[in-house]
Amino acid sequence: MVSEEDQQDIADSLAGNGEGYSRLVRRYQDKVVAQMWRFTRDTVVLDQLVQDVFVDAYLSLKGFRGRAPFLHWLRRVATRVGFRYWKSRARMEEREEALKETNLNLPAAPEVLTPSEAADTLYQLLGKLPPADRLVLTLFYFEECDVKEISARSGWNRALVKVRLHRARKKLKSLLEEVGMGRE
Amino acid sequence: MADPLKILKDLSARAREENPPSIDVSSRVLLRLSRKTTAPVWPMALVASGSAVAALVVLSISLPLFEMVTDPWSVFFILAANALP
Repeated sequence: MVSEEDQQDIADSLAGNGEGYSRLVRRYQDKVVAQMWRFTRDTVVLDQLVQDVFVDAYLSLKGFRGRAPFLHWLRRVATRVGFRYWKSRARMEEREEALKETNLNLPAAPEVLTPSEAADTLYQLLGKLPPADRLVLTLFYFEECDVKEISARSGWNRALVKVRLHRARKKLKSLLEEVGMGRE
Repeated sequence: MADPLKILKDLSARAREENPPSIDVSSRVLLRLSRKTTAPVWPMALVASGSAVAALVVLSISLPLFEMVTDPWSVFFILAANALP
């Protein structure tokens, strides 16, 4: 399941060889950057979050059992870091206030947007939801994960994922109607 | 009614085409890890002072014993002098 080079680099890292872990970071950082780019649109925060993922991963590397590819395990760590970031942000922000201040300008056709504009809009839109709803919708729609994968990444059981997905969709719908987007 | 979930689906599909920024964090990660794994100074100071105290205790016991072996008569006279009224 785990490639030979990953196995070797993990063993080197556990033995305290920094070069081994550096190779792992360089091998997977693009994938982690792409994943963490869903959790922030700020490149400074992105850099910090990607570092956090690899620091957290190193500190819990002993717990990696090698039953699945290293990237799968790393994605779980990344999801945990991103969710933690959203929760800390949510505690600082008054979401209701933000809703009043920010206008959601959803286009009639997303195809007219550039990919970056679409990602910004999506980020703002999902940012109006509580962190757990935001995470489940991001993983389902943005990352195209199925219920099993969301469960693996978030640590929630599958029944809970389904319930959260259902509730998050309902909240999103009422949110869009509130700001006048759910009607033509 | 525009379907909010369709909006979400279409937006997600479009957003996935975006190229994320390119960054290299490997050196900064190693720097942070080296700071985390470096042993702090205060436990080392604690161990050093503990060792010094232990050495003093050992010396205070072993030196009189050594004296007793190398010069038993002096120890005998000291004990005898103490025993006198």
